[in-house]
Amino acid sequence: MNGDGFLVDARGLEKRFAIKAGFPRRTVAEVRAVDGVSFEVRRGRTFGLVGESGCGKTTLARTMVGLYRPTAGSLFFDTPADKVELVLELRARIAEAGTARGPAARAELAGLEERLEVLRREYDVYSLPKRKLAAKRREFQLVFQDPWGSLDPRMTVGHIVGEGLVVHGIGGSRAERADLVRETLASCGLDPDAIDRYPHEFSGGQRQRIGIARALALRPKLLVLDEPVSALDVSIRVQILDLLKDIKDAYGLTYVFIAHDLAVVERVADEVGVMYLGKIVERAGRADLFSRRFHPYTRALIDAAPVPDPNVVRRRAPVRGEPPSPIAPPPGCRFHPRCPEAAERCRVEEPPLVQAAPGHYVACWMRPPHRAAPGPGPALPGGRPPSAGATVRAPGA
Amino acid sequence: MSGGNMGGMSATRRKTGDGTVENRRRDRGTSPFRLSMRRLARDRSAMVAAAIITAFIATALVAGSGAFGIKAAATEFDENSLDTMRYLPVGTEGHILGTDGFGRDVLARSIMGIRTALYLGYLAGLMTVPIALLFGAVAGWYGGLVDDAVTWLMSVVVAVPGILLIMSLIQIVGKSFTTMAFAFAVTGWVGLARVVRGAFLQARESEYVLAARALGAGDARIVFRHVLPNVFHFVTVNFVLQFVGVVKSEVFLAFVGLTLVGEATWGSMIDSARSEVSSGRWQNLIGPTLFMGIFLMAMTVFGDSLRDALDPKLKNSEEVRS
Repeated sequence: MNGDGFLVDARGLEKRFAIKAGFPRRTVAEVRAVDGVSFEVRRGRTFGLVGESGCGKTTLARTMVGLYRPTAGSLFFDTPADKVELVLELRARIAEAGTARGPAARAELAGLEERLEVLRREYDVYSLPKRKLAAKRREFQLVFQDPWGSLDPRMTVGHIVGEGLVVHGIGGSRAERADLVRETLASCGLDPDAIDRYPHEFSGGQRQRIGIARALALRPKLLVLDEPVSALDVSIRVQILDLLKDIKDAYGLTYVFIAHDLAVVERVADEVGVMYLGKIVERAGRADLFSRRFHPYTRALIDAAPVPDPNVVRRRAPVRGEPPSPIAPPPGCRFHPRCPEAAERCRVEEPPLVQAAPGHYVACWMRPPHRAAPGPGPALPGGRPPSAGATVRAPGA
Repeated sequence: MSGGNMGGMSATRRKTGDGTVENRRRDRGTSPFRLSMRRLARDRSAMVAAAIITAFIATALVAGSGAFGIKAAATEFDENSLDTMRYLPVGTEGHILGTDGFGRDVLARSIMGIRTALYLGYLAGLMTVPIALLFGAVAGWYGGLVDDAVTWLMSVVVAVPGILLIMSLIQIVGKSFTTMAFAFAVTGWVGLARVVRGAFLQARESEYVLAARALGAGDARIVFRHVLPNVFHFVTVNFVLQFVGVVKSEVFLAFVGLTLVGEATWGSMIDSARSEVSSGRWQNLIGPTLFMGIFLMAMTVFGDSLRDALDPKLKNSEEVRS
């Protein structure tokens, strides 16, 4: 496998939920929860994903670990870069040949499609044969947001954390598995003797540790963390974030970290993607994103974060209203009804996600490469105030 | 219960153990089921009801074994009564509750009636649970068209007055306790099936089921390890409460003549006593109604308490811990 390339390479992920009604059941509408999302995550890095509630973050997380079957798109997990390229190239050629007529062209098309199918069954997570997918699941695991709902109340911690081991047949005997579970619990800062206890006997922070231990027990390569700290007390958050950092180093993990709290993302992420209504509207390295914040939505999101300094005079970016419904997203740029900078073009044409600066991608008609970069930003002179990450601090630290 | 608290508890337990590390008592957790049982044990009315039910069951078992001549007394005819109805008043000739028109001891028959009630209720429950579980689980798990079909079937069953269905079933298949229990099951499964369906629907989307799926668990594992255990308490409560319904229905069936002649059932006893009330003889009503009333009350109270104790939504672990 490729040494330091991408562990995750998501291409055009799309998940629509059909809303069915009537008799017989008919699809009356579609929720476009995730609508064409592409991103890569480098091995050993943390990709942060931020956005308002309802923007499709959780759907994306669940799709990524194969809980939902996407409507379209591919996910390459731990796949050599040249194979990904090959798939994309084949796809482009098929699209090209699709319009061709004549038996020769058709034969060529069939050949291309067959080659693509073979590749996809080998590498695309969503096209893997059942058995391969089942085995592959071990390598990517999900940590849930709600530490109450995600643990089966009638199972002991040992059974919860050890379930993956049983399912995948890891650890020959019961005793061996128990040892593995104890070791994992200890790595997650829990008493190994918690193995015989039940979820209701633990606090929220400890439950989240159990949830992390369950995912970690399989020794995955990737952890998708779906708002892992947002349901926790502020005082507990830092402990969990520290734990996540520790196990990442100890087990060489890669993270996709989903949050709506910018302070949390700024603290943990190497690269950040901003999601709005099922699409990624801006993507860049952490420092780059937080200082330049090209997209008006990113700007509003960052400027809306509270600043723990009463002397800072804040000027909020004028973003009004609620995000529109993903059932009927607005035409053109999805942000235009709330955007303070929206122009005519934004109302009709959807901006693609393109490179605005090296490694910095933005989907906005009012930004590079379509327009010159704006000034230092309307919010505050001299860039951002003291890091919003400072709002998250351990008590007494 | 906070984590710090818990750590403290395990520490003290270790100290009070016999000292050596190897032999220290494992600090086992308390399962939700054990919490429920503790809750139930603290419910005084439930315990009284449980005592009454236990007494009824014990009495039925003792009587059924033929001890104390109860079984015999319940069926023994008085030769003279074949010509003229011979009611013995309460307290005569050793008949505490008197005798019925055939000279059979009313108390003994009331006691044997417990056996019938228990047998019928138990058998009906035993037949109902699998039907309800199957339909409810399939509907809730698969959803879509399957769910529509099952929901439709349930609506149809409910639309027909249950007692009429039971009557016709007994008429068609023939009078026997098994037939009666089967008839009760055929009409009584819908309530539980609906609850099970709801629980499955909910569980299918619950995060702990998603978590199991993410781990790679298959359908069978998820259903049997994660969903069914969380449905169990509905089944238990339903089983107890169905008992009440079955015993009541039996009386009604006796009223319309669908009873087993010769068997001691509360229904048939009340039915035959009913016709005597107009001639001023009401004593034969005392036994069966009293027995049935006390038994049904105990069952209802116990069923309600059981539901309160088992329902995780009403759980208050702090209270139980104290």
